[in-house]
Amino acid sequence: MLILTRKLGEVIRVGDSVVVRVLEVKGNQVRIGIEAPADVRIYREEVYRAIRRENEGAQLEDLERLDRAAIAWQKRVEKT
Amino acid sequence: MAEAGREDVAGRTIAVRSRRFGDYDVPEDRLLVFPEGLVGFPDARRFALLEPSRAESPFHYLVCVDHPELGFVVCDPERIWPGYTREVPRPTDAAGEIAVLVLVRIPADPGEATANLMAPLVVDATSRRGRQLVLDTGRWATRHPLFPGAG
Repeated sequence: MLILTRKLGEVIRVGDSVVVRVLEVKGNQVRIGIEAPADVRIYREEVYRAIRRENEGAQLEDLERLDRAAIAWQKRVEKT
Repeated sequence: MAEAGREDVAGRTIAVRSRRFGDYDVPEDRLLVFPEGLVGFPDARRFALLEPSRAESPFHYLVCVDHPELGFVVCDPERIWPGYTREVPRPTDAAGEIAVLVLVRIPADPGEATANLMAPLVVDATSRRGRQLVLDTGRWATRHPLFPGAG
């Protein structure tokens, strides 16, 4: 891992089009500003992991499972 | 295999063979293309949205023609959470209407199924290009129960 030391307000550039700036340091919290092209996805790590985990969990294992969910849906519709 | 379908100039149809989901043909112009893939699945780019097996079902399956054994369950969130679609920000590069789908997790007990409203799939209806957005606002969670109180 590349490790750099920066002061408040200083910037790190990643490639030509990504700019990372240290905006505020307060206790153990750091506020960071990131400028990047719209097609560069930026996530907090825990959010990225949560979404990836849900995507993995949304994989369809077999069509029968889809059928069972459809039956559960039908029951719900009939109840309301 | 799926790539070979691109050479089929007569029909421009991609023939997909899947052990898991069976064999099916997708006209190329019906594909949904996610240039960035899905989160955690960067290589899953071209998808076909297949109809539910039961007419009343809100669940569709989104199968990846690039990886024929990879498929996801999705539903139209509007049927379950009316108004949700309106709150999904429109991609700045969307040319026309957008369609919104959400991924559904169906565990062994289908009564515990949940939908991921935090990371919807947003598709430009004109270009059929899509992207998985992440709504990191705290308002939507990754697991909204589809059948509250079921079981």
